[in-house]
Amino acid sequence: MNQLENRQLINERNLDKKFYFQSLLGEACEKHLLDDSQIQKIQLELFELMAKQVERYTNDESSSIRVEKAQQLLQSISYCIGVYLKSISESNRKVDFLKDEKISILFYHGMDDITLSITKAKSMLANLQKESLKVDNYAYHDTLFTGIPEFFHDYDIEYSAYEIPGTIDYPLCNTVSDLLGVEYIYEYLEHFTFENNVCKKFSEDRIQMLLRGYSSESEHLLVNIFELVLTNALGCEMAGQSITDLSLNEKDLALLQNKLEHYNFEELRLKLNIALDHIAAEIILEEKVLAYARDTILRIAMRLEQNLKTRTLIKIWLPLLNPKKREEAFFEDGYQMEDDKLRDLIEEIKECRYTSDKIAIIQKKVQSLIDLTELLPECFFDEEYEEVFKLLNASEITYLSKFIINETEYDDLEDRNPRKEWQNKLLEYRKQKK
Amino acid sequence: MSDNFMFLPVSLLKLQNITEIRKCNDYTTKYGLQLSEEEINLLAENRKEALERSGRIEFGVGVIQKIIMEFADSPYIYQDNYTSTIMELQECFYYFKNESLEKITDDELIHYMKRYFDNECQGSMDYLQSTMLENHSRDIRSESDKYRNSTGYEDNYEHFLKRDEEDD
Repeated sequence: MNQLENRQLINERNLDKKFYFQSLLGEACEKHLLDDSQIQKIQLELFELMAKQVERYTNDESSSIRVEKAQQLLQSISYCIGVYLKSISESNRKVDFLKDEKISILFYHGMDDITLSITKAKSMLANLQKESLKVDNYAYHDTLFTGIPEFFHDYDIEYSAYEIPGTIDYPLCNTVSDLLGVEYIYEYLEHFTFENNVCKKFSEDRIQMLLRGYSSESEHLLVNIFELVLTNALGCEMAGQSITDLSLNEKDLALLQNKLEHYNFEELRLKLNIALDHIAAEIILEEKVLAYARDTILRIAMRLEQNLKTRTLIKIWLPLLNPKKREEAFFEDGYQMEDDKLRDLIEEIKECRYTSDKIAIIQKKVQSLIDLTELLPECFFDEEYEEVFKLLNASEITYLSKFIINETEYDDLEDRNPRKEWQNKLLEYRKQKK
Repeated sequence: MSDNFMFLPVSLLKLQNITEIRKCNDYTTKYGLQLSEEEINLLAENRKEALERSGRIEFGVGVIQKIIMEFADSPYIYQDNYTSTIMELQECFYYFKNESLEKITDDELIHYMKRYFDNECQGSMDYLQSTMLENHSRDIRSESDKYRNSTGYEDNYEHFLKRDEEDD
């Protein structure tokens, strides 16, 4: 087999995106692109790197670690190397890098790439937070303001770079799969940005009414807002109605039923794609955003085909309903005490023997969550924290969680502020309540 | 475990381990303790098995040299029980590294093992494992301050290393 044929043998489609380095090695070995001495070189360098990482992890105070921990460290190293190898455009050059470069160099390049991705992802998050939709959906806001910031706080680039800490509940229309660590978050935020860009072209009040049309409990449900908006916009376009209204009445649905019921699946898909093109031209969508929206068409077409057969277009093209009175999703804190009064209150609570007495004082005298954050570390311990948290509603819990994340935010990965006990307990309590 | 760590140069590590153990004879000879080649190989093999049994892994030469240096001057170790005691101590070490949830350094654990072995346990490995180290690990797990009095690893090893450098 000649050199040219050899160089065409790495098939990127065979490579596992999550375990990229391992699968590239496997593919290269299988295709005999690495000889025994090259494999040995890689193994030895991997061993040396692992030894160094274990030394760092244990502060050189332990010669051995548990096998499970070693597996995690090894997976983290492999993940970092994989991130760097993915950045090399030609598949066959990746094997050349494995042959010619030290494994530790690939690892450190990978860490640099990850650090850069973290910076870009944080910037995407900041933009999303600034441009977030003012609609009532807990998962949407909680993910943006608490869940994803938790990722950046807890992400360990050095020893568990493949992990995805944080609570990421909001369901995207096109889910992120086959990715780990910062790659997952980066793509999640990219998708979220595309979705938000589309939704921002529509009135937030109309979107709120659409959510209400989806369910009276939409505030607490895991629902993708973009898909609802896009689906109704497509329906409006096909019914000849204003897409920005997002609204279809019974006559429109009857018209669409007549118009579409004779089409087969491929024809429906084509119609939806044409409608999408018109929408994109009208509300001016960027190429990338349009491409993302187009990935949704297949799923919408499948649902539409089913709903046409059962004559239940009301289930795909939702009515817009007036929302119930909005609760205070955007929290405003209560009256804060003066410092000397707060100090007196701390002393009063400290003198209580029973938790129930402490709780009674909090209920009677504390109106501000900021004051509560002063009282918690001074006056409460262990199981008592949960008794305090039970006094708070969902908005207050979210507000306090955001407060914790912001207070323990860091600019440099090295400068983490350790959390207080009550803060950790609150975040655990919030997770349990979901 | 072996599937994930197939890249470990096992024979190279074993060779390094054997070399390190062999070096200890220069120090322990003044205490009337010597290891034959067969005993050195046995200890190296025991290390591998002790690690597997405790679910641990090492990427260097391990702690056996430190254990030997620390225990060489024990009044309860003599030539007849030297190899078997070191093997048991090695096993005990890895077990209690797990039991203490990695909260104690190698040097601290070895130091405590020696202290208990020579004093309360009077050379009994059973007593060392089932009573003294069990209690010690419990204190560590419950984050009691009782265990924090150790100054860490001491003179024997440092002295031996310095002497090695002077010879060079």
